Amino acid sequence: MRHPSKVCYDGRMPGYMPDLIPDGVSLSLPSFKAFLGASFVVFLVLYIVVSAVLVFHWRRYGMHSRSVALAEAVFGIVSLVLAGSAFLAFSQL
Amino acid sequence: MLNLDNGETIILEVRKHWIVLVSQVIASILMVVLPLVGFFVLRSISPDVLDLIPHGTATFSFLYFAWLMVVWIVLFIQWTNYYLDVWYVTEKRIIDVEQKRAFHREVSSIRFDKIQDITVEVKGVIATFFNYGDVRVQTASEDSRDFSMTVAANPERIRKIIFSQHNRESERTQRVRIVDEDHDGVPDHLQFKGGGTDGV
Repeated sequence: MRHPSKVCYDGRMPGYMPDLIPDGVSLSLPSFKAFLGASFVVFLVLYIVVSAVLVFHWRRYGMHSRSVALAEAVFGIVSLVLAGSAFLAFSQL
Repeated sequence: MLNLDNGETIILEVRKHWIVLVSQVIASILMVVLPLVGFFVLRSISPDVLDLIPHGTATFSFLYFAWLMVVWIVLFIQWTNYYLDVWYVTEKRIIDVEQKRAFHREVSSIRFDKIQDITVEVKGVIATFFNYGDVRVQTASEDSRDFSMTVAANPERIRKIIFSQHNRESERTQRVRIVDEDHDGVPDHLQFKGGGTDGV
């Protein structure tokens, strides 16, 4: 008699993994990378638009204060660093 | 962009206390840290979980940096909302600027001679320790609304400055023009023009 833990539900040999991906569908790396790349481009466009709105408000209503100038600089530098890091991680794919 | 009169300068800028940003900063830090913690916990429980997606670590890094950009910009949206809600106290008036949303801004002003009362409320140990409270400026006019700011930094100083400007405005002497149309040396407003009997 087989040990219960060694009997799979479909009667096949132990260690068999049923197909998680349907036939005809491929999760190959190029298509996955292309999907991520396209998503990142859309995200970047949105990010730039929102950043432009923020900068508009700072320049128009910030009264040219030092706090606003500092905020602009910090925001810009860190945004560039993060975007560059994301791009670098993307290139590793 | 503030339209000030000629010679009008800003004496004081009144904003909310920095403590209002603390909760937002803490939330941002949690949003930054939690995905990392989740990733390492998941990897320690099930090391093969990242093999389910191609180049799991690189993919996670890429998504994580994108997530950081989201957190970063949300933080600055909140800071902008905080920074652009301000009172400008000049020699002549108080200008209340409220940035309600992007491209939605409300600006009101009130001259010092229209101010009826200034109320300051500092409630609680933390408010007392960090020196913040609610400031309310009541106006004499029924048409204009009262100005109020909650969690204002250094509320007593705000009250003092507004009050001193209000007193200065009230005590300023006005130039009076005396009219004497019949040129008899007696100002018109002091002449008795009635035709009746004196003393009646």
